[in-house]
Amino acid sequence: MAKLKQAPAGGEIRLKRGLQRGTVIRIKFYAILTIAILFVLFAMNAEHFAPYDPIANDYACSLQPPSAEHICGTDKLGRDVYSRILCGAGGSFSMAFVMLIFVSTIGTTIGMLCGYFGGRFDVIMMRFVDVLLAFPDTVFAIAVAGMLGPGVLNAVIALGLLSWTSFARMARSLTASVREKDFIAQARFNGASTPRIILKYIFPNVAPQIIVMATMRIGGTILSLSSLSFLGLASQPPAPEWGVMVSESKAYMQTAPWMMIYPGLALVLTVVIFNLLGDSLRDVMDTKKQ
Amino acid sequence: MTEEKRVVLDVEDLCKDFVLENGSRLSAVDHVSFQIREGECFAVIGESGCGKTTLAKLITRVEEATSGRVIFQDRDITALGRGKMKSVLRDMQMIFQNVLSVVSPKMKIQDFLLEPYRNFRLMPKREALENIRRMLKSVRLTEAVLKKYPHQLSGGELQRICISRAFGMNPQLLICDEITSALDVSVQDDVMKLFRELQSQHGIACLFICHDLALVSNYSDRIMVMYLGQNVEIIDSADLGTKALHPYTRGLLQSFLFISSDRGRAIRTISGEPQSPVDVSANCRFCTRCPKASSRCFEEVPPLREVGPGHYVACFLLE
Repeated sequence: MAKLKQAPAGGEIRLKRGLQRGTVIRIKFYAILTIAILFVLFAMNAEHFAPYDPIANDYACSLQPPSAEHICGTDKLGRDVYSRILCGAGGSFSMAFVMLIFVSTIGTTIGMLCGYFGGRFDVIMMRFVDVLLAFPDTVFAIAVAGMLGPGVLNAVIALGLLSWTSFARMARSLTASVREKDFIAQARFNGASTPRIILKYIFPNVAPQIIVMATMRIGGTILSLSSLSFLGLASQPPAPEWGVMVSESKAYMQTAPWMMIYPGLALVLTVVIFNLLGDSLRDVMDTKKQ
Repeated sequence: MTEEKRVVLDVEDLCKDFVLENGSRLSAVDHVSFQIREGECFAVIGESGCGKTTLAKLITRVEEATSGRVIFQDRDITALGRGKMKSVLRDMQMIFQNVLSVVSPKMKIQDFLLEPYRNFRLMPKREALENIRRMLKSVRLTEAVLKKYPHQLSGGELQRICISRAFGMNPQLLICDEITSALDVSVQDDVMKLFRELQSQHGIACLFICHDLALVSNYSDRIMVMYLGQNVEIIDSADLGTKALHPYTRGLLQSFLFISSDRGRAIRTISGEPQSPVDVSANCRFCTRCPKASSRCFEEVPPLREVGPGHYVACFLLE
């Protein structure tokens, strides 16, 4: 009888070529991840790095342009813009993280249940999602934040009420496509119960995309929170928050542009870093590319 | 000799009609009956769309039969509830056609292989792993595959893993749905030899669905030929080349190509178009393409008759 040879360890040649590419992707990912982690650590411990008190007024040096003492200048109350930017970062990050973890969990759970079971629950849920998606999100958030009253927590709730829907949709469509795969039929054949199929077979195939989506959303969420603060619906002055700072600088746009430029740049930098993180995370999660 | 062995699967008069959107009925499996005995490899062949896969789905209750009965180990399973069906499935393993999509891409082979042991609470993990290792050795794979993801393995390796898993469960019946069709021809033969070796070793009854007549005649004990949902002939594999009687079976045999065949020889194909399986009248399904069809073939369904020991044909020409 023709003997089968011992199986080689899974196609060496294919692996070697893939490894190089995978390595590049991974190096890129770890580089961006390091930057992002440093960024977050820095923001969380900003009080230790800030040269000045972010809230203390100092009328003697109000509206000073950037200089050696105040590298980003000062605002009309003489507060150091650089210190305020640093101290403002922490709050925005933690709010965005907490909200996204919460929202993606809820959205994914609902989406997976809808996608797996279908039926009436799915129809009702998805029509509800359609209704929510029909609102322009900023307008909806303004309305909700207006109703609940200004405040950071209320702003987060207002944003969260809408943003779970995209997670639900994504999870639902991914689940619906995974559900038809042969390995689900095979799993049922081997006695896997429905909860087990959802957790062990469907969730691992849905999770990477959800994690990528959540990461990509960090930047956007910080931006939305800042917009609400800008409109006076989230953080209130004198809190050092980027949206609040931009809002306060409106009147001085021409005489003291640094008041607006530096918080704006901080926002851009944050959004770019987290979007890059999301992108490279997607590449890394794609096991087939490695 | 097969007569003394225990009947593992007895399919009686099984029918499956699908109701289409416009209200017409598509008859996918039409009054099919057969028996599979212990240790036997029973092959089902026929062209695509003839109801082979539906038959497998009916036996495993993925689809519900319209009428007829499936008796598995002396137990009618056509109406069992879900919980009881689960215990039946433990004794009835299935190997799928598309190996590349049978393992979840996010699951390591080890977890994949451990699943049935865990779900059916057969044995503790350590014993299960031992069993898995032994089975892997029997399909000539190394333990290294346990730590791999499915995309790191080839189709042949994955199919051997699936085979090792199915045999490892020590089932009473193994259903193989076109297990070789996704594989390269060079690998097919190895996989089939391995399969037969394990099958005779474990003495497991096997329902082998395939469309490759050559492969089937080499590796199975008996063959059932299906045409558009009807069972047209059941014959011992050894007699296929010499004793086949049904015009469709003979047509299949003649349309066969050999690599060594004379190039000048005309390839004989079965002429005509198959009947549509939608809203069929009661007749022999093959009547539109049969070279010897008489008027009776268009009006009645030929019954399956025993023409020799273990040889059944459904054709009026033999009366």
